[in-house]
Amino acid sequence: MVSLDTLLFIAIAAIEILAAYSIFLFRNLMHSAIALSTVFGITSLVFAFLNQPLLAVFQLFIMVGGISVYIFVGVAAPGLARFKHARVGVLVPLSILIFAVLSYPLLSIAFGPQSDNTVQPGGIAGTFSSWLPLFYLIMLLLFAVSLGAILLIKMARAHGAKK
Amino acid sequence: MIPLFIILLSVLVFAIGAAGIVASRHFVMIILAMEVMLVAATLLAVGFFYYYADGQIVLLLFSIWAIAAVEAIALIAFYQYMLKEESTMDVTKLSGLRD
Repeated sequence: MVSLDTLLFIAIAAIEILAAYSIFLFRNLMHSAIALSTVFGITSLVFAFLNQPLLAVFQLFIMVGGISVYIFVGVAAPGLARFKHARVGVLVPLSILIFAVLSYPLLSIAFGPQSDNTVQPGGIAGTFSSWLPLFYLIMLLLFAVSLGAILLIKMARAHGAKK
Repeated sequence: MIPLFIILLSVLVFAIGAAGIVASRHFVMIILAMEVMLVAATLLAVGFFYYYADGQIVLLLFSIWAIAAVEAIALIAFYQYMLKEESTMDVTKLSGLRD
């Protein structure tokens, strides 16, 4: 019987894999940047799933809050034009081939006894994981605000061009 | 949940990033593919730490995050330069930049 945890993890992993593929399949650079941010955010969720709330928040701050915003503002916002996307005929078979080659040695690995290590937040009182949903809520709000700001700038530019 | 799932997920994400580098010729897409590979590396590191390691992982993760951040900043700098110079974003034709 598959546990609920495993089902949840499979759902999260499926979203992450779809987002990672869609980075290369979108024709608009802005959409690719949003897909990359989704990969970062889902990775943070996997960290939280692995009982590492501190690392999940770091991942949110650095990758989603920092690097994604750099890419939005510095790259995707000025270059909204379409461009030639990756070759799908190469991408999908090659990724499956690389996955097969890299995961082949796992067939002969015997996993040892497992532990349950967690990075402890020093100096933060209480249980850190109880604050985690708040961080995700703030991430979603800031994400929506940054996307909305870029769309508003685009609309304002189009309005100015009409005048 | 067994650790194999985390390893397989990180290997698959890494494979998508590696294949993305080969499959795309756009300069920005190649950098985004490298970011995906770095994310896969952090995923594998955290999974290994959670299940088996006995020590510190924060320094390793911060070094990976620092590499990703530097990569993003370098991407912006090169991208703005290429836009200004009206250069091509096709990496197979970037030798024109030396002129």
